[in-house]
Amino acid sequence: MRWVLRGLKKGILTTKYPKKRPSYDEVPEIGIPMPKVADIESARKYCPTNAISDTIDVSKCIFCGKCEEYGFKRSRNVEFAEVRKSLPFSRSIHIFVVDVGSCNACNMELEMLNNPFYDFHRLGFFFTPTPRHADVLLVIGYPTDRMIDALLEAYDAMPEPKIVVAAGTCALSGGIFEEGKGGLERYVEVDVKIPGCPPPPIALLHGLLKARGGLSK
Amino acid sequence: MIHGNVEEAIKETSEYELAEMAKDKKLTLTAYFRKDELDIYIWTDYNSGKTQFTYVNNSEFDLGTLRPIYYALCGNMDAYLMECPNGVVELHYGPVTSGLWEAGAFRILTYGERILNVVPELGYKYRGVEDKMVGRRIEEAVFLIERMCGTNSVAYSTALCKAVEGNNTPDRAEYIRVIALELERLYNHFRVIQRLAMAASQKVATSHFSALVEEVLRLNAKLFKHRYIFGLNIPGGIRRNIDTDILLRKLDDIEKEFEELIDLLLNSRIFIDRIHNTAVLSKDDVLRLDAVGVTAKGSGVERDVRTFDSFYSETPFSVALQHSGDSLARMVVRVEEIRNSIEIIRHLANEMPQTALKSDNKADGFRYGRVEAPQGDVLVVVEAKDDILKWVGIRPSSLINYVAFAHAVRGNIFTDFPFAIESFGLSFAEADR
Repeated sequence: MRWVLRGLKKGILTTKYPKKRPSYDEVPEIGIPMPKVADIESARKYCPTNAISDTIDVSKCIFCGKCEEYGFKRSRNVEFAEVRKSLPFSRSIHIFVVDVGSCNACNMELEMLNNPFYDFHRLGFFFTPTPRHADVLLVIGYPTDRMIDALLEAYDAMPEPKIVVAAGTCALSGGIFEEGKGGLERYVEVDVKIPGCPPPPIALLHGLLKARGGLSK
Repeated sequence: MIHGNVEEAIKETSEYELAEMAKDKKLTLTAYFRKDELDIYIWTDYNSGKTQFTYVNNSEFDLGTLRPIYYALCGNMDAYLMECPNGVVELHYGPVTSGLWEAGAFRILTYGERILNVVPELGYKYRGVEDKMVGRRIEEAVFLIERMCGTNSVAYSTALCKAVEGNNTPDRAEYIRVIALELERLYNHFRVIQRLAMAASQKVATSHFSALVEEVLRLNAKLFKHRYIFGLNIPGGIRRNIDTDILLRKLDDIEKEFEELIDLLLNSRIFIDRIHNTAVLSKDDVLRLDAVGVTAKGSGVERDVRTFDSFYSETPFSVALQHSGDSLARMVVRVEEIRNSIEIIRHLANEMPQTALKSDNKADGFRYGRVEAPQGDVLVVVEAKDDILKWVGIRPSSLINYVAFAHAVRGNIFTDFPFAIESFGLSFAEADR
């Protein structure tokens, strides 16, 4: 009974996203760095993952803050998901998560989607414990040698239609661990890319909504 | 934050002396590294806070009979496997599991419902962090070590930075680092309580506690521009200044919320019944298996590197101890630590000195740094020359505590497994590196 009263007292915490823009509380300046009055040459030289060229390669940026020393400013924009193929569904989709060598931060951000602030069930997303029920294979982490077989097995076990979502810089390009080999795309075709190190929940929501095709309709 | 020079402290020992040290109950085997044909053993005396370094030249000495943790430190987890008798099933669980578990596997010996032995199988998450750090500039190596275990990023990066910078860190940088460390402890402990509640199917408590985790992460994002405080540490100091007003205001809300929730949760008999007397680790087990951190404190052994840190002696820091050694004891230790961390942060935020944020001090040579991470102390040993790392050794706390967990869960039944593992707060990413 006391739990119920507490819940009522607390009120509604859930974000208005995607109907409204994320508030400052949800996304402060943690987004992609933007050159304002910047010393781009030095920034390019010292960027640990060579993410800076004429534009900033979001799939390589590890959000370390090094370029802020050279006049870059962090923006509040985290919605950078890139979609090649989306699912032909418009309602609920089920997600199977495979961790192929993450640092635990991506796992935690995915857990955070369950919390009352984001509550991604309201948008029709569910984590599923088996690939047989899954529409989306969500892969996080830097692909390690021993996890590749397990990843491909999970992919083969999924029914059609299916898409692969790679979340986090490690999965997209290898990030800081990369040694000229690249990320997940060596092994499976990636349909949706969600950058971020780790991608904040709003970025994950944005990527998943795009994967479902919900935003375009 | 303990740091020092290894070269001055290291002593050569014979195999006989090594065996004598291993028999000494006061010493804890903290780490074992192999570097250029030398076997380096690192010992800690948690009463005096002294870290001892010894090496043996070209030996094939097997310390594992005296100190079982030696096998884990060598990366030889198979040494803990048991013979599988008739009628007993060996269950291989992982690496791809249901839910959002990390990629890691367990080999579980089971007879009916009873768990006879558990051996964690490492290697699925091996990214070679230590090897990849070698040859990099220290500043880049900090980015790498932060991404080794994202939820303990401040602890590892601080240990690395303390190791390479020596004594003259500016005061304000030290204060902000400790605030970041304690904030990291807050969200990790909240998360452990949340996952324990989730294992007991306490849905309402799970939601409330995960909201609390999110509050701390949002506070981090506002203060440090990163939800997991990546990119704060640089060798010589820190990168960002913080706004203490936001911190103090938010901290009051978090404390009030937490006190109300923990009062409700600890009065919930259904929840307490599940974690009381689950996965008991006795005091002798802790001493024998060299467990560290919250695991040791839950069994009545005071092992916390903050106790002999001169910086913490000026803060309201105190060690939380429990003696029963079960999942409940470990949770109560966490509750006490959360309260203590809030006090420490408040004290530091009020007394913050106005100094520079970074200095250009560099200390070359073979050095070490130790920091108390949320789950136990971590050790980083580096050899640096002219801003380039020549050799790196990392001793994660989860690696040690996995062995303690595997021992504690023996004799429990399958439904107790989630309560056991969540109460230790372990991470495969950290143990595998």
